[in-house]
Amino acid sequence: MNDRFLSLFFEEARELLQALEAGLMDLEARQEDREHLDRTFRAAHTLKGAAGMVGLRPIADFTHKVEAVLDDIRGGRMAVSRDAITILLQAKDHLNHALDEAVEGRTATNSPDLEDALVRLKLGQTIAKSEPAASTPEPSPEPIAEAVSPGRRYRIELRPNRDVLRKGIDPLGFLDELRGLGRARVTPHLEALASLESMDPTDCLMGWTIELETSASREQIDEVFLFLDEPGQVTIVEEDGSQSPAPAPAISGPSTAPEASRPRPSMASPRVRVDAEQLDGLVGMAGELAVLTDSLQELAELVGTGPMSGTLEALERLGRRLRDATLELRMVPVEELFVRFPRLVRDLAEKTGKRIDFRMEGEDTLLDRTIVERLADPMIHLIRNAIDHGLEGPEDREAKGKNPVGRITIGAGHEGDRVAIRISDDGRGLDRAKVLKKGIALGMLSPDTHPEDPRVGNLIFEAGFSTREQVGELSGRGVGLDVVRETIRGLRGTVSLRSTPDKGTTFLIRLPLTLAMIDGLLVEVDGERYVVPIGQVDECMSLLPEETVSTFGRASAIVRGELVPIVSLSGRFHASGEAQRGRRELLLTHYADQRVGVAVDRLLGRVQAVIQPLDAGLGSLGQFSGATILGDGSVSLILDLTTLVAETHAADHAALAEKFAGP
Amino acid sequence: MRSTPVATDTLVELSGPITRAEAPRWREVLAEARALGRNLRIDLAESGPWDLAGLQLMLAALASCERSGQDLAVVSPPQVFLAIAERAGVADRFASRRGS
Repeated sequence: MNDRFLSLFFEEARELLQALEAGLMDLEARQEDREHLDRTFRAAHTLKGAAGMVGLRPIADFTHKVEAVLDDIRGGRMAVSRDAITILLQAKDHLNHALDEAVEGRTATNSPDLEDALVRLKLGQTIAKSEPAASTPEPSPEPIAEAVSPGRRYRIELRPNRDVLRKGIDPLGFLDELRGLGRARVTPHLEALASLESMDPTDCLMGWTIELETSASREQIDEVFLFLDEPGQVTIVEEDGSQSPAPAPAISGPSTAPEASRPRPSMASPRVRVDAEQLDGLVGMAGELAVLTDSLQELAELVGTGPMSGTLEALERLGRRLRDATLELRMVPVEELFVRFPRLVRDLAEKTGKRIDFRMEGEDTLLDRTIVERLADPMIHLIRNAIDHGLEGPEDREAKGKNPVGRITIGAGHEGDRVAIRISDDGRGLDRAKVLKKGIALGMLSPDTHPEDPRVGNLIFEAGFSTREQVGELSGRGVGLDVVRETIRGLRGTVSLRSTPDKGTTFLIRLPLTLAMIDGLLVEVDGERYVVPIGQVDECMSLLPEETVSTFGRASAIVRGELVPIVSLSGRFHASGEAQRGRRELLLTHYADQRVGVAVDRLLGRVQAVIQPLDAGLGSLGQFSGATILGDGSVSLILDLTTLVAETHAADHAALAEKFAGP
Repeated sequence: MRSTPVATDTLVELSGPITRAEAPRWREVLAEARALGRNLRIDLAESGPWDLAGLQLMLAALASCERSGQDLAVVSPPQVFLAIAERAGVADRFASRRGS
């Protein structure tokens, strides 16, 4: 099999399994929703067909069993129970595992217990929840099709086009599927195979007549031929039914059935799959073009452009549009990340005996594809944490007068040039006293630290810190939240928490929209140039020395009657640099709903910055989110104002606490 | 792969994958062997995997031999070959052609 076909299959198969899982998660609540049932069924059906086409028979055969169960549910022949969904979800997990094995070139491991469970499900013998599948008595796991009592008889003429083999379609897969639907008598037609010398063996030269006795519906038979995408290759005639026999029209021709009952393979989608590396290359080139444009503009300012000025402006505009368009190609909805969490919550709720109402919001918020991919593990950890540490058990909640069903909400939305993702629970909240006590015992906090000190909350992100005395299966090993923070920092993001006793905890993750490039402001501090992401700046204003005041030893500015604390970059980066200064520029930003001004020496203008990652040394300093090459070829650090201000705030808090604690 | 005249028979050994990618090459091998005019003995012991293109090759060789009065015997067919012949509904075509 062509590697490209296989890799396309693996990609599509993962998406289909994700769609299958999403469908299964809602199955119980939506068993009357025909469209939902069809969609879920089609995910399994398409996977089966695609696996058969690439020669992965074990995966196709196993999926067939899943599909058969879903078909019974869809046909109203089986009621959906929680146990049934659990078995189907386990089957989906098995398929995921089988795909992993196939990717590595190994043959998929069988799961006879699960196959048995599916057959039993199909036969209406759902295994009791507490009974392990392996210990069930040994009723022969009959092929699913044989459990179906034959009813109608069909005569099917299959004459595949000559090019089907070259398209990766295996007609034998259709015969296998028909055999799975009932009793099939297959008669081959070999007339076109008369001469070895004149044949092209890559043509499909065979045809078949299949006499099928089955209780399957006509729609089910049609679906077998889903992948024969050109008309005239199949005719289906019901032989002794009440309908007058008539040749079936093209099985998968667009006009033969309404769209709802006619699943189309994803190859019919108008979308185009693009290799991620190619896309990154394109984004990189768009970024380089933006840098060159900036460079040209700088040159133009030096030498003057005269008649070229209009062309230069047009070039700059086009460069920006190209950059934005290519950046958009990297964006995917966070739904692609969120879609796995309902299953996670369901499994953890079962494990812990907690009842959970899980909600998702803002799934259509767009985020850089790389961020979405790398955010999965941190979010899984935070959700596990919320279930294990945050939510109380139903009895405890009732005793507190709370709804016995706990709630976990994950949501996403835009905040300026950033995306904010929050994971909230309505559980017991962070036990600050306990965290403080542990922090003092570990020497991480001084004994006079106040419980409301922000450092107390942040302690749970420190490596090796856990207040949990008993290590839980889900979390509590003191490993994880530090990794969560590091991963998010690696994405140029921040994570913080807000918690109220008995009301719950919210983890807030703030992330850049993209990892590739930003619109920035070029600023100068002590002769050094830095880039500040423009989305982090609310407003710029000039600041004269007489416009500053000192409160508790900290400089503040009065902006339209409001006292705004000032973080001086000079004071922050250069110990000796905070000398008496003249006019400076103030970049107004905000932190924890409060306005903060960041003072710089000069504002040099606007730049487009292609973000280059920092090495481990500088990268560990959260206040720098990357570096960029400026139009003149020099390198400049990119500042992360949010982290810079947060760190200054925490340091000030500590200094104040120390000052007032006295000797 | 080897094509060896043995007394009145020509022995052809097919080995490795007999699938769409390799089928054109195997077609030439079989056609050359058939052109010798003797009976064909096709040893499949080392062959596999098989797909429909490979199976069609065997069916076409069989039909051509029948038409020209040559005998065709299939030697040591592996399970994977028998399985695909069964799936295609042509297992009986080879059942009486098993040689040793």
